[in-house]
Amino acid sequence: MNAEPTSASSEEPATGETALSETASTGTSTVRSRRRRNRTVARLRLAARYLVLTALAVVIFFPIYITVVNSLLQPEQIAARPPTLFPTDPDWSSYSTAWSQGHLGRYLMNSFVVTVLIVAGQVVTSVLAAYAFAFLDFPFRRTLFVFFLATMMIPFEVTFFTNQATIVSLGWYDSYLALTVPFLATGFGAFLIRQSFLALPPQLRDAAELDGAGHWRFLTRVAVPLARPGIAALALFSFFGAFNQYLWPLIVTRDERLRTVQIGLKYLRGSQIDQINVTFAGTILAALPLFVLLIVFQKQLVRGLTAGAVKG
Amino acid sequence: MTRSPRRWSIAAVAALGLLAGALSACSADDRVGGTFDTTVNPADCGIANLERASGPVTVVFWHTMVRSNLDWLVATTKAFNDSQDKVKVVLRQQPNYQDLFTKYKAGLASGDLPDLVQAEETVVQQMIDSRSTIPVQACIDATDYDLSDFLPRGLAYYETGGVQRAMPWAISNPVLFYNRVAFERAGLDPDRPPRTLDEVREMSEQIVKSGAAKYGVALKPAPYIYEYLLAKSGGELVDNGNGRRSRAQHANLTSPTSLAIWNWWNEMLDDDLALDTGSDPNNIDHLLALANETEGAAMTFESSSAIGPIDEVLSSGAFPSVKPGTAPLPALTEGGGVPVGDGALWIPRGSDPARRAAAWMFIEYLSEPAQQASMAVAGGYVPTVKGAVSEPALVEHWKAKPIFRVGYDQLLAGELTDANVGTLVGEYQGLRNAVRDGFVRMNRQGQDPDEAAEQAKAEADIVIQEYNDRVGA
Amino acid sequence: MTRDAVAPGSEHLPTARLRTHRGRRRRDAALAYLLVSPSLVIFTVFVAYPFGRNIWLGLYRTPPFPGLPRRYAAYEQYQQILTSPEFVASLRTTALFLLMTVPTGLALGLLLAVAAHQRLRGIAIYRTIFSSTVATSIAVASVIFFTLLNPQVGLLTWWLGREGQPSVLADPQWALVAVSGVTVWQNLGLSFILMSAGLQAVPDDLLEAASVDGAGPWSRLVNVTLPMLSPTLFFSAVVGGILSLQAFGQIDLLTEGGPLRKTNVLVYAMYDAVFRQNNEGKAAVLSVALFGLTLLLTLVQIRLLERRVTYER
Repeated sequence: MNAEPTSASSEEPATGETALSETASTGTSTVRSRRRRNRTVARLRLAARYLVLTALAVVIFFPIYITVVNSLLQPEQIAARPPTLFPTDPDWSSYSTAWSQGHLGRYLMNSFVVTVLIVAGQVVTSVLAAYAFAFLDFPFRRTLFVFFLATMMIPFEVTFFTNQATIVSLGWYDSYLALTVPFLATGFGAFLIRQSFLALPPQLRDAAELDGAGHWRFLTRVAVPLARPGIAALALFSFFGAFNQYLWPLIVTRDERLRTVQIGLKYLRGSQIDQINVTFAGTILAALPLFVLLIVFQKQLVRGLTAGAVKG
Repeated sequence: MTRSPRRWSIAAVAALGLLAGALSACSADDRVGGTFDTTVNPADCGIANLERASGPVTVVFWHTMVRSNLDWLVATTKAFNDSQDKVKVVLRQQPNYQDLFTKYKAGLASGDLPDLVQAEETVVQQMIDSRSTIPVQACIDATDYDLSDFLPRGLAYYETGGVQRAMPWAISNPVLFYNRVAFERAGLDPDRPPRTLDEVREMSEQIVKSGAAKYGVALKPAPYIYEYLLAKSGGELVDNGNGRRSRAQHANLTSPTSLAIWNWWNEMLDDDLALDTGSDPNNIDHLLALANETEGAAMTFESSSAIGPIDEVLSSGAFPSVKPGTAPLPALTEGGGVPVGDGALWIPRGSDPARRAAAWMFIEYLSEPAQQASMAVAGGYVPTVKGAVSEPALVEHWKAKPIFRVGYDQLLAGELTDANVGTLVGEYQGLRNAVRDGFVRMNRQGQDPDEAAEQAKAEADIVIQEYNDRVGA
Repeated sequence: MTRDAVAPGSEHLPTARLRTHRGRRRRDAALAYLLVSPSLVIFTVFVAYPFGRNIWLGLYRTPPFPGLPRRYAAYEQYQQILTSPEFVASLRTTALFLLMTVPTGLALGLLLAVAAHQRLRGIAIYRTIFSSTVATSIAVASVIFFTLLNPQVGLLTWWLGREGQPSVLADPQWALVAVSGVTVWQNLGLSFILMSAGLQAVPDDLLEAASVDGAGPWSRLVNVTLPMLSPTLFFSAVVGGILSLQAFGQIDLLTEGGPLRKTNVLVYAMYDAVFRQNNEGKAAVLSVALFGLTLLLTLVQIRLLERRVTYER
């Protein structure tokens, strides 16, 4: 994977250098040799750039790479020294073991159900609230908006145990309700979508009103389609948050049938050394969905995360 | 407001005063349900309710059995369910003691509780403080149950104020493991393992000098190992008679007996006679050390429940240089005894009376010599009743593998004292954390043993007092 | 989930259309309340109520079991817990964790962003690899490193020459460093993405102008790129700081707060207080402290935002 771009490097000369040597070319042999030297220097520089990039990539990717390799080895091979860095005789059975015996299949399914419910819930509640704040006038609007913003100042980690007690007293312990309901609204989402709505030209609403379109029509036909980038950013952001949750599912579920994949990893972690390849395989399975998302939606993802972390 | 506020407040103050007087007359521990409360109501056991019940009564049992023990429990429960039609036991396996107890405490608020629960010995005080179970004494009285066949130590941990709170069931206790081959190589008699910590030191010197092993003993700084060394040496872990006379207020980590153990441990490490295998509770390096010829040790301390797995690994033939031996745990002095450890059975108060009686019926069944013997054979637990020892299956098993006997013999040894029948303290886990951290500081950071014990005591005292304060004692 | 760290900023509610008459207004208001109500209910039950309850609960000594009375202790419990050596140690650990993860994470993210900020064939592959850890959750990252640091078979254990010794994670001196390292790695992808976005916003003509003036790559970085990037850097540092206060998963999976409580950060201490010691009152006091720290960082952030806004105008 890393060797390929390096070998391709000779085709692309570094722009600045070549331009200079091109203008200096007059046809004499000294100039030609200088030009050759310049070209060599340029190639070396280019190679150095690739070398640095490749070195960084290797360091960053190594933990994931070695996890994949180890998942394909027998436990004895994993313990062997010097370590095996390439699986000559890959054994894929660890994946099926993790999937069935480790119940990774069910855990991933649970994670998806929970994540989809949360993302859908957050988008819907945020769009509705944002619409009210952006397009409607009502008493206490300002107060309520400040209240929405204030919820963002209270991290969930401040209230988690009291919320757990609430879940228990509602009789929701060990249920999908417990895993999703507290996250079906977000102040950040309402804020983000409201900003998107406010950025729409005000004439749009007036025009819709002249057409006799009600609020509902305007919301679904005009406002939401036009605010799509903001909504997509929110959806991606909440997808990551929901899928990666750890503390909350840990404390509101105990039933194995409701376990999300992150919590499944906790139990996989404790398995015996003679099953350590299964632990590695399970880790890869747990990370795979987001990897696929990353590769398919890289651009949108970058936009979503930047919106979430910087503008938020 | 038409009523005079003053008159109301006077009445309120008077009422509060009366209430306070009533409360201060007896301590929380003597009150109904308290640690030393002696009232037992046989009707709580619900025997009559069970007799009146029309269909079979279901008992949900939370346990922590795994592997061969789980197979045994499943088979035994099926046999019990098939043997009669009054009671049906449903098993609910929990991952381990800690998770089970966490779930139990959560259940106290949500009502999600079993009808029968297995818990380890460290939670006795908390179980009593939670007032969430009936004392099994109620059932013993209601059925005139005969306790004379039980090992006295098994019962003693779970008895306070003359009242039996829970029944011992799947029990074990720490013993000495040693490699007979290494003993022979060092010129020691493998049939004469050390009986005191001084002897452990002397024999370790000889083992190291002779090159039979790199270390004499592998020491895991696990709090329970320290606690058992202390108990067998006659030291009380906490004050007020090890928490058995009145509620413990302080840890006794700096008593002369305790300090002698901390210092013994430290010197063994300092003189390279012992291997420190780290405090991670899941780590079994001290056991692996027995099989490691170049870097290992000839002895270690571990629970008797580890005999089964060790025997299984070593009898595979992969380690010809290891022949395991077991012996009672050495201590500062000879002649002491150890408390019982591991699982006891409690009957929650929240279940309706017929279910309590049904749970008790299952306890009686599990305590029969035949079941106790087959459990000892299946998983290596120590039987709770003497009758089990003459059951043919167990006789056969112990004859073939004598190393399994030691946990039973050790529980019969020594006079029963406050120090060695078991510690009662609320925040037991917090106390253990303080002890563990003390050992890590001494072993890894070179802290002086007396100082390490001192600091651990200070930390433990805070935890104990905080708990007492919150429980209203 | 993050429900944090967003500043109110400057706020312009759009002016209502003035032509409306009263009935329509009332209908609009009813609709508005209907629209905000789902969010409002959830915020009330799961944000406002527990927050208020925590502040109140901090005044009480809570029993370890339900059914026993809780006792009013006034501010005494706050005072006692917030001055206890355990809390001070936990606070120190939390601060150390922040200092070890946030600046390192930003610096490494910036390094990667600068390295990848060039027009080369195949650069997209490098960008993907550099952002790859975005796809790992904290649980995935923790379990990967937990296994690599396994004292018996872990590859990192072998490279560090620690075979036969207790794991790095059991070493009081190194445990927090190891946990921080895992955290930095897991956040590297996000950090790279943020810094890259920041770099893209630096106008190319500015860099070209510097280049024409004879500035080398290092000088361009220090004199042009960094100053242009500083708002993003400061901002990410504050947000990262707030997030680092919430660290829990890596502690639970790697060290469980130990050894010697050297990794017992605030959130883990709260978890321990509630689920191991059954001490809600203590957890409540700790939660108020955590909120205080978050608020402090949020105020810094609002300050920065205001300043950035003035720069931009």
